[in-house]
Amino acid sequence: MSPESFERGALTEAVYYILLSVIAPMHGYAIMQNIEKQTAGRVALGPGTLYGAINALVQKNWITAHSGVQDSRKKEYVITDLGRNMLQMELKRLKELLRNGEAFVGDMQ
Amino acid sequence: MKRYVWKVFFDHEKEEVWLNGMSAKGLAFTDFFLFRYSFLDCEPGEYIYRIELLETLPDHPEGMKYICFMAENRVEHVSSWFRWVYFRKRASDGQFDIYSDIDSRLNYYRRVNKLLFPIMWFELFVGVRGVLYFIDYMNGESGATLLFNIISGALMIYIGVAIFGAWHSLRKKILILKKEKLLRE
Repeated sequence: MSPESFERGALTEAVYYILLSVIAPMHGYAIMQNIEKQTAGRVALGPGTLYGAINALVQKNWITAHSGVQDSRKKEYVITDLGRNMLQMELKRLKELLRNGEAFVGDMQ
Repeated sequence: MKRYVWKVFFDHEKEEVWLNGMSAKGLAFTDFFLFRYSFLDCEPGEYIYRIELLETLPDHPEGMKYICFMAENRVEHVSSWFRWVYFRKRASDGQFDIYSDIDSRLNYYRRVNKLLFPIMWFELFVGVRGVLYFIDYMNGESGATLLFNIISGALMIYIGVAIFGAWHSLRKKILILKKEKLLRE
């Protein structure tokens, strides 16, 4: 797979929901709870999965440690401009998936 | 009341099932040292236990960072044995799986098998060598040496086969997840 096509690939569900969660600064446990709430319990992120995803996102500079709350013992994370761009691209891809799916299959209801 | 159980596991998944079974009976695991498991009374099923092989030792800065992150997520670090770490979470806080998607599970199973593979072959190689030594030199060595060779050789083969069982079980899971990964996240 070329780097270009790799970069255009789908985000994992964990990454997608983490990016959505940290539009406002949020710490790890709150991210997990938020994702569970947003998906009505369908996506329950394991802490090991969350830890790996957060580290990878920080390394790629899609999210960054938030320095706003100095006295908090829990580290908070917030999305970066690059992360927002990635989220926009993913939304565009998801809309395309939905549009094509509905055009071929119609309303599943 | 503190209780102790001496037990040997070569498969951490079976060990995890056993610890959760003990928790279901009202015995909360609190410490591990040299095959000795310590338990304290708890409400039946109060805790869910998970065992994880860390990438580093728990007292390494990376390991400490990870254990701190787990604590922030209401996961308690109970005990450690080299890179193996015992975690628990209150069952009332909901389900507890350390890894929840295919990629992270695959990475984790590969990490464990990378550790098990050389240990398994070392045990089998040295064990078989000990048994062969016994067969070859049965008439030329003292009884004590021969007895030591056959007992230690058989024990190492037993451990090697047990580790192979754990490795093979994870290998099957890796293959299933790899196939699944072709279809879904």
